[in-house]
Amino acid sequence: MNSSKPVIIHIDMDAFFASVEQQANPELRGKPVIVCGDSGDRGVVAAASYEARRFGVRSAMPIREAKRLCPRVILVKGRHSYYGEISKRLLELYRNYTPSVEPFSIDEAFLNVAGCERLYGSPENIAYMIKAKVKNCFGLTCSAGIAPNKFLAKMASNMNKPDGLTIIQSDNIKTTIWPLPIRRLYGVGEKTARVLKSLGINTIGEMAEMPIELFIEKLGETGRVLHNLACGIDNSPVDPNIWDIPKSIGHETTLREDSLNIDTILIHILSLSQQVGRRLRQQGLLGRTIMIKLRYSNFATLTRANTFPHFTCLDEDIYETAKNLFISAWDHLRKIRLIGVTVTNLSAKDDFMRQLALFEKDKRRERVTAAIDNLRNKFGENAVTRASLIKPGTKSKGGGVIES
Amino acid sequence: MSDKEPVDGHKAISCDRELLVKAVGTVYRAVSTRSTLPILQGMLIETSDQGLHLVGTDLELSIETYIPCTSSGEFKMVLPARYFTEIVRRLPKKEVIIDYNPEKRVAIISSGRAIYEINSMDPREYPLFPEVPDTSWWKVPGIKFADFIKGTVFCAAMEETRPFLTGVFMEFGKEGVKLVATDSFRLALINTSLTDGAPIETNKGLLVSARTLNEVARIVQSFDGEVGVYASENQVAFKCEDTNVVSRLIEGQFPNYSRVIPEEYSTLALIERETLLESVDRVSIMGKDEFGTMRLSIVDDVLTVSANAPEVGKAEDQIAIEKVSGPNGEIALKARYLMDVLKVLEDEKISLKLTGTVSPVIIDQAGVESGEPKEFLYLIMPVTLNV
Repeated sequence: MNSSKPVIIHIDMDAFFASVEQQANPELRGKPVIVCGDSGDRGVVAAASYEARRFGVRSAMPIREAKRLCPRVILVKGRHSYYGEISKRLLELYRNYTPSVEPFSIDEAFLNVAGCERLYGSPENIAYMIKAKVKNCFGLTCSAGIAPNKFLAKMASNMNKPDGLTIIQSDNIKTTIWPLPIRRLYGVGEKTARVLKSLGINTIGEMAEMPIELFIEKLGETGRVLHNLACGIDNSPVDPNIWDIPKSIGHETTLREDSLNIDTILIHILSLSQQVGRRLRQQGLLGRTIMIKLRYSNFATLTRANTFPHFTCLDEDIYETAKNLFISAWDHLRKIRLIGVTVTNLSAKDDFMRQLALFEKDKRRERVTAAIDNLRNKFGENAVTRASLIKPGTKSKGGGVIES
Repeated sequence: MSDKEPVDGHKAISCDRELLVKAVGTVYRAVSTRSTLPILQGMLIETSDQGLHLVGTDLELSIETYIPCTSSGEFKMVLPARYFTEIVRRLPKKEVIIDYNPEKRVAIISSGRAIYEINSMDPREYPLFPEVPDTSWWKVPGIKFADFIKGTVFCAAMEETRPFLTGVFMEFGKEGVKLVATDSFRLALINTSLTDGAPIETNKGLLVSARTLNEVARIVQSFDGEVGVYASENQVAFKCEDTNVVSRLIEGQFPNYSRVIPEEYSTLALIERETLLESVDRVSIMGKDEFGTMRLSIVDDVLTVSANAPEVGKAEDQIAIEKVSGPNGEIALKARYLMDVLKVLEDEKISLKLTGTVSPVIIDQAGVESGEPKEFLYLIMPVTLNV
């Protein structure tokens, strides 16, 4: 079916988190809204509605800065599992048109619709149908880009946001992407941009017109890839299974206030470990390397990791390791601002060589964990939690640290 | 300590450098140089009726030892252990003079024409040496004891998730003493008929941390005489000549290990230990990583050892089995677990017993005459696919 030349549609939701919130709560519609993390004022903007963007509010901007730019902005606490759920349903919608759907992030996906024309008409027609369906079913808008490869499709979807539909053909890249500043090229960050600017390159077109050897010499393999992209060449296939095994699963949290209190910090580590463990198990994964991330008040950040002899997905194993890493890494002097717990070196449970254990005890730990997971699946994340995560006189919420 | 003061206010002793170096080295193992309590980074050095008394502790493990000295005074000081250790190692002459000025709280260490002055910490801050339990549990020749420890301790768990697996369980019964260690994936059991010591209550056990036993093994490994094992409710002590090691017992219940030792096996292969070790070592190169898996398969009288790392390649080796009984069989296990066992043994031959693909491999001495008052048994749980 897909033996013909690929036709890629890239779909990018418009201000996804903020739009979802506006859709869920009519009072937020038409108003500047930003979605933030658990740390509220101390965190950064996770997403801004188009109304807020008009004031100059951008993702990853500190909340305080956003408030200064737009004092009327409404702060909404992010609900990532909810966005994840919608994201999953969106992917199902796309799969009605082609089996070749590659999720790219929570709000983006690539679709290869080559060979679907007989069923659904031209790629342009398919994109319109999807946009209309998304609008009808979810009340959300998205921007679509159509092109012969993933890179160009992604560039295209970004050209007429929001609610756009843009087509790039191999023969019109000179007029579409070449005039764009080099920083817009996928994969060019601040550092690379600086290197390229030092070569006198300011636009994507200027890069494409220089010999590839120059970039290989300056940037190595990255240089080759970037030059190809600038020329509109990208042979990466749409891979529906690409995300089957993530590289890592992690959570991090910014403390309400910078802390020197080891008990507080350990409770956060416990809570993060539980969240990570739960996600590993939900995705049927096991991991072997446990990593912690610490950020001090002065924003200096350090990570420490430890590799287990065996794969695990149990909260206790993750917590004990994270705790020990923290204890040996921390000097008790520098205030902690942020803590993260990540498990990497992941393997799917199914295709896994498993070390058997001698004692029932290990099986019992697994069974206890499975029972707790079942309760949470049925009654919500707060149906069961550890006593140490509850503060007196407060209501439980979020499976995280419960604070008054 | 008496109030006797030498004339010049200094309090000096003289001792032998080699004895001092050895004593300091022994005691230093219990000093936690990274302790947050500065006093614990020190070593207590004091005169006593039994000679010069040296102590190190991290509150979990405490080691004390005595060496002979001629004294013309009495003192008690706490010197930074790292400096003191480095100093005594470098002293030039056989005779070492240790002098102490209590007013300045300074130790003066001299040998030949080399002289060091080193500030003492406040000895009153130093923790009391834990009471050495007086109930005797066992008397065992030092060399043998070190051998038993080395034969089991490597199977103890490293990670602190389950503290009760981080030690060796010493179980005392009428027929002998058993030492058992397991990290739940493998198990070591040494059964010895050496039962000297106190009246042994049947099936009582001590759970001693691997770290403590490693230190004990280091101290007693070349000691011909008997080491005494003493214990109280929560402490265990090992006495070897002039050295005492005292440690807290690990709390918690050691698992019921006898339940997991299979009573039957299907296939038994008698193999030369060295040959198998070399073969496993050869093939383990192709293990995925340090935790790599290998396959052992017994077909008639040939044992095939093989490993397969899809992204690297394959390896295979074959060795002759001296004696085989039972059907052909195959098992996958972690190469390192097998190597650990083969390395710690000194026996010329061992038996490898298969009990099934999801039950442990047994390594023991079945059909081997050893003449030693010990029996060993190791279990290694296999690795399986898709469970």
